[in-house]
Parts: sequence; C-alpha cells; structure tokens
Amino acid sequence: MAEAARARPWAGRAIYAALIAVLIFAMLLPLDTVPPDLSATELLVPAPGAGPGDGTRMVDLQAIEPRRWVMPDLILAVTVVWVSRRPDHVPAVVVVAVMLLTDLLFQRPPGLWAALVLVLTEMLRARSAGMRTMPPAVEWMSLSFGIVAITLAYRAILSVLAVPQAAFSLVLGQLLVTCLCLPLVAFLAHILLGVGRPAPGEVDSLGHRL
Amino acid sequence: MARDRRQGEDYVGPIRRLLIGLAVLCLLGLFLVWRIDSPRVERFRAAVVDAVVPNMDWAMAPVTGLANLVADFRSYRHIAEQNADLRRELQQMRAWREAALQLEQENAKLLDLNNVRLDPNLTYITGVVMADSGSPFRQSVLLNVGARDGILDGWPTMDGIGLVGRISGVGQTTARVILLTDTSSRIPVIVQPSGQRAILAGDNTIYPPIDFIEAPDAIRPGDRVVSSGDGGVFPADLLVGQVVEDANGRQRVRLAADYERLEFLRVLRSRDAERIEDPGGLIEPMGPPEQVGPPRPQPRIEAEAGAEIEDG
Repeated sequence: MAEAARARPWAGRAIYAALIAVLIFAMLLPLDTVPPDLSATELLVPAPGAGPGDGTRMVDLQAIEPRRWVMPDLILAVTVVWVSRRPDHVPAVVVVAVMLLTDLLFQRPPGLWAALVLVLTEMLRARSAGMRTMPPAVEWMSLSFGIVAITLAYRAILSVLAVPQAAFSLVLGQLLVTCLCLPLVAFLAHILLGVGRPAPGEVDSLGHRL
Repeated sequence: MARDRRQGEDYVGPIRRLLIGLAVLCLLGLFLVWRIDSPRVERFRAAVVDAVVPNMDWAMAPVTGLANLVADFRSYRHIAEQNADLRRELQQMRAWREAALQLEQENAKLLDLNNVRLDPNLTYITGVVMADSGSPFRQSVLLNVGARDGILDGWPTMDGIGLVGRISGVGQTTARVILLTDTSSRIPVIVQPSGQRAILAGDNTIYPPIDFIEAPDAIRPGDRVVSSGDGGVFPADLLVGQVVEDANGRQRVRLAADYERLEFLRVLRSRDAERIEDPGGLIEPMGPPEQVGPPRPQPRIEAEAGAEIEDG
C-alpha cells in the first residue's frame, strides 16, 4: 500500500479523501450532544426532597458530567500534515471542497475557515520542498505557527463582524491539542499509510522529480 | 534542485496563483454574503446537509448504537450506588405519585365543570436524531424529518420531558434543531413561582444562563423555568428546567431534557397564536334590537389530517 501510494498520486489522493470522509463521519455521530466544559463548576442546587427555594451549595450529583477535554481538529491536522509532506496528494481543489463541505456540515460560517485553510495550505505547499530537509521539530513549529495564525485570524474576523462565538478558553484548548497531535498524525501517516517525506531523487509517474 | 522541477511549470505557476486567489476571494465573498443575507445561505446549507447526511445514515445508526452500548456497559460499574439512589428516589416519587393522582382527578373534574378545551393545535411529529453539529463550538442535532413532513422553521422541539431546542434550517428530509445550549439560542422564559420573565441565552455550556431578569433576588435555586409565549415565537408553558446558581452567583438553568441521550425528539406544531390587533369596533344600535347578547356559536369543523399525527 505504501509503495502504491508513492507511485501514483491518485492512490494517495484517494487515501486522503477517504481519511477525511471517515473523520467527517466520526464527528457527525450524535454522541456528544453535551457541550464540553473545561472548568469544573460547583452549583447551588436544591437538596433532594426539598421544596423549591431552599438551596444548598453542593456538587450536583444528578448533573450531567460534561467532558473536560476537547477533540483536536483532526481534519485540519491531517490536511496540513499531508500538504507539508505530500503536496501532490492534496490538490487545492480538494482542500477547498473538503473545507467548504465541513463549513456547511459543522455549522460554521461558510467560506471563511475554508479561505483561511486554503491560504495556509498554499503557503505550506510553496515551502514543502524546503521542509523536506528541516528537522521534524522545526517543521512541527512552522505547522503549529500556521494553525495558530489562521485560528486567531478567524476569531478576529468573526469578532469584527459580531458573529456569536464560543468561549475563548475552549478555542485555545482545541488549538493546543491540535498542535500537540500534529507529530502523532505525521507519525501514524508515515507508519500506517506510507505518507512520509519524499526521498531525494524520487520521481512521480510522469518522471518529474518530487 | 527545487528549481529543476519547476522548469516545465513556469507557465502554469501564475495561472495557478490567479486561480487560488480567485478561490480565496470567492470563499470570502460567500462568507460576506452569509453575514449580510444569512437566510439564503442557510437554506443552501440545509440543502447541502439534506443531500449529504442521509447518505451516511445506514452506517451512522449502527455505529451510534454500538457506541451507546459500550457507554451503557461502562455505566454498569456504578450500578450498585445507582440502585441505592433510585430506591431513595422511588420512595419520594411514591409520595408524589399519590399527590399527583389526587390532583389529576381534581383537575379533570374542574376541567369538566368548566367545559375547557385544551389547545388542540399542539400536536407533534417525532423524529430520530441522525447527527450532531460535529463541532465542539456549535450545539445542534439533525432530525430525520423535514419539509416533507411539514416541519417549519421555529417550531419547538422537546424530548419526553423538557424543551430541547427549536428548528432552524429545514431540508427536504432533514431538519436541524438548535439546542438551548448553543451560543445563538435565545428563548423567552418565565420563572415560576415568582413569574419573572427572562431570556434563556445559550453560551455553549450545559447550564445556560438566564438573562434580563427584572428582580434577580426573587429567583431562588430550584425554581421551575418554563417557556413563555412572549413574542409569539414559542408556545407557552413548555418545561425548560430548574434554576441553579454557579460559583459566581450567576443564575443558570439545569435543563429538564436529557441532553446526554438525545435519540427521539418531538417537534411540536406550533401555529401562530391569534392576536388581537384592533381595539374593537364601535357598538351601535342596528335595526330592531332583537339579537341581544353574543352571536350564536358557529359549528366548527376541525380538519386534522394525517394518520401518523397523534394528539399531544
């Protein structure tokens, strides 16, 4: 499978598209209908059996326990890792299609996130040849920097246009875990799917150097 | 070395850059259009969701079922303490049940005496939750009923007990429910027994805060929160939840609906409440005063169509 992915860009593209489809599917599963909350709160609730009005400060035992963690934005992580490693597997058209589709499906303001991700992936694509010789830590830093930059830009534009947004702490939490999961995504992509940096002198099916 | 590769693509480069720039502009344009004329783009969004998500349903239902099964299995660990809790609760509930039965009989008797007709307009359609918003920042679920079933934007949605949210975005076979916890959800409510009117404003936590209360001191934790008919958006008196106070003294609502398990939701058909617009015509003597008193009641024919609709 790894050899096939190296030889034909279409196979690599299909792998990327399939991976994104699986991620979208997993995120749409109706399992997390309780919003995550990063801070544990103590609530003033009525004691069981008491009438309305006489409350005591206690931890609410019957309460729903929200998750104290956020999922990383795996679609973004996979996209930037793929673009920096194998730009030929992630054409810009596919990036636009995927991001616009997730904008629409995940109830984000349509278009803005897609545009920012497209700009980021194009910058990474232009640098991907140079990134091949970078130490992994530097590569990781530059990817993280790009993700932080577009997230802040996204947030800033939404605030300027007065779109209602989630708490900043939650966004920061997701940003952090997304950046932390980048090396893991790169490692798994390399081990399982054979998506690594092209070796020096490697050629594609038409004989062009990668 | 890196240059070598680009030799053959020199003429492609500028065009490609132009196309990318164009794509970015188009996407930003779409975003601005959404910001200016949101309903049109939201209709487009509903159409896209309607086209995409039902295709995944065949796989989603079993995977969701399996995940819930695993979660159930995990909860067996707490079964002993849960059992003790339930027994205690059952004791209290028995007492309440007696009271409720007596009240029900009394209520039925009084309704009968007064010849009251309960609102026949509150019928409902039940839908299955297909998908959620897929993002930790938005709180909504997708139902498998849509315009085909006569769902309209703005209708309230409940689970068996409490209000869950309202319909926003209807496709042909799907409808999106914005949950009360979403940042864009605002619902007019009344806090009982003090009768304070307020707005329940979602903020992406499971305990949405209550805003715009006139006298916050009149509200105590444990008070019941029900929807109010203010603004004609929602039917009145749907149970929302119970007031709780967080560590900062902010009054929030513990929702009555079970947000951890949203499986089947009821969409209430809420029709526009009739409004009294004019102050009433002048009453003047017309002809011989033989008809004194209210006019004779006209026979009303209620046409309730559809076999799948039950009375709520």
